[in-house]
Amino acid sequence: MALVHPLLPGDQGESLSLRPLPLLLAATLLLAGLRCALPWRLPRFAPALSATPAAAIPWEREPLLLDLRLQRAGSWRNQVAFDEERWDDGLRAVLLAGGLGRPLVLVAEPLAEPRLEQVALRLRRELPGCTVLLLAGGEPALPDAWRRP
Amino acid sequence: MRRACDRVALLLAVGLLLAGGIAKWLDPLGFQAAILGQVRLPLALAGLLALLLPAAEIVLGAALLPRASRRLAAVTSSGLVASFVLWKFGLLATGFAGDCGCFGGLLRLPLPWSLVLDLALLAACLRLVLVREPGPAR
Repeated sequence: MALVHPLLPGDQGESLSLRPLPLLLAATLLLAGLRCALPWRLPRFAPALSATPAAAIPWEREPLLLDLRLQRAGSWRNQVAFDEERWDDGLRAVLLAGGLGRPLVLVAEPLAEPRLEQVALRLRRELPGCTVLLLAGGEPALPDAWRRP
Repeated sequence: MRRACDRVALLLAVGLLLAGGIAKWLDPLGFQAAILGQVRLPLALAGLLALLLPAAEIVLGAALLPRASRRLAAVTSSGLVASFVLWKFGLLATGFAGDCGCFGGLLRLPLPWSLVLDLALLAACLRLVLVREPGPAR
């Protein structure tokens, strides 16, 4: 199959062969499929997105806890409910709580859920001055001193 | 002179398409997050785009090398990159200041610089579309 090339000057017109097209499409699908077969996060690109142990979180810097389990929000100090489906509202809540520049700790379970990593990545991009951490162990790992009376 | 221009265009187009494609292909979650940071899309759709777009860029970059597929790859790449350029102008107009994710975790570029690279890539692809390959000997 061939098309007359419309952009070429001159009266001859060169053909644009569509013959390689199926091969290019197949190669694209193959590459995308191959990526699915590999681990989602290759080690070199995952420097700090693994969950952080509670002891390694700088609690003295009063991090803001972003709780993705909305129904539980409010049980802890510095806790903000964060609904990633309503991203702008979530960001506004972080800013109102003075979260800009402070460490942000994502609390939700299970921590292995890729959704959390996506939220963390997006938060990092949109709030570059903040450290975004995933709390290893979820809520049980929060220090008792942070429990609201 | 013209041949030198063509070679530079070819190198630029292949290099940028492969570099951007491979960087994103290695980090699909990062690219998915970048897409979600720019537009409200369902997670699954953003994930699909994050898989297909880098793969397409790699394939197009590689397809520019053999003469048999060069013109088709150049035409397709021009369309793809033109859509990126339009998208980024739109983002600039909304005041978006983040990283567009075009080079995955390899390179974080401010949007204006990424747009400059895309314009250079578009120019290179269009140049390749317009190149007349020497025909077969008669």
